[in-house]
Amino acid sequence: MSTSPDQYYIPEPSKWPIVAMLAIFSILMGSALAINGVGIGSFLIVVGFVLLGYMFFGWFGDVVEENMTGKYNSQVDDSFRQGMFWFISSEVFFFATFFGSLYYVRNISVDWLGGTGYLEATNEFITSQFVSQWPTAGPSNLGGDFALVDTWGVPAINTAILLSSGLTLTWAHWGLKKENRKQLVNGLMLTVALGIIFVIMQAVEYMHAYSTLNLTLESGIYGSTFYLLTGFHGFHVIVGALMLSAVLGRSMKGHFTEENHFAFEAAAWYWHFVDVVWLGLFILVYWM
Amino acid sequence: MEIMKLPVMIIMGLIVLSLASGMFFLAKDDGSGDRVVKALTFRIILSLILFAILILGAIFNVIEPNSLTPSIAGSTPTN
Repeated sequence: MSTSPDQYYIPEPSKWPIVAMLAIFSILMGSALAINGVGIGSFLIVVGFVLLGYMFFGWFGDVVEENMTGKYNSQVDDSFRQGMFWFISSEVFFFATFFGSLYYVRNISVDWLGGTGYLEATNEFITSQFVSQWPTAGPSNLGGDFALVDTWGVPAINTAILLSSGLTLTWAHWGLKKENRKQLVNGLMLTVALGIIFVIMQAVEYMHAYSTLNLTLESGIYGSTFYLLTGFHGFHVIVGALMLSAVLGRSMKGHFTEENHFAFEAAAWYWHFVDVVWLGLFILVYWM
Repeated sequence: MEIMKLPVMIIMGLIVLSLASGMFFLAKDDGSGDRVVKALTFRIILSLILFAILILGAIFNVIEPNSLTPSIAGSTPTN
């Protein structure tokens, strides 16, 4: 409504929140039906994700256009920064919960079942056969014996890939700050490509773990935490690569200046965050 | 691994700190400075050092990755 830089920009009524609601409803309803074996369920999930993609593309497109036509003042800029800060905070707590559960299971509950501490009697009378160790196939070895993923295989290579992508992104970032468009675009292209390679390698590793190592989601608490942590991380790599692809497209169209580039820095920071989460995973899951 | 745990954890802590400072600058600055890119550059350099320490530690047998431990999980009797 307002185009004056002195006033906080309030957009016209928009269809996007309703489209978002329909997309999420479709995904959740589809999932519920699919889990219960109703045929239309998976179709609804696909429709939901297509709608979600359409919503993101359209809504962010509107925001970009508003920005490029000079509708935003410094207060709006501050709102975006605050929004990103709280989004990231929720992401930090999301992963903190999973790392916390890994710590709890590994260092506390498995020891308890093994008879450490005040649960000695529980071990003596109920879980007397249980030997406390990590990794464990407990409870009851339901998923069968399994082997661990070789640290020197895909995990180490993927770490090198993700660290390289952090380097290329930092190179692009400096390109933006020094107004070198070619460096910005090339750096982003390399980063997105490395991100895609990471996801493909991870998928290959999962197939290998399932088919050869018998390390599955049913491999007791180790399998659950392993796939939960690495799986959600992989999902975040996909989201980060999508964000950087959008930023790459905008960079190629000449968007972003040395001073006005919040979208780039937000996406770049997100990628660094995903990179650090992987380092934490790499150390805690594969080394310690 | 025990002997290497402390330096690894210290560098990991510094990485998280530099990342967090990058977030702080991203939320506070208006885009004109270069505090964000500097914090993130520091972060990637520290990460490369950490990766190098892990690789060198394994080469010189100071650290041993988990997957080289002989136990195949599940071989232990459970109740």
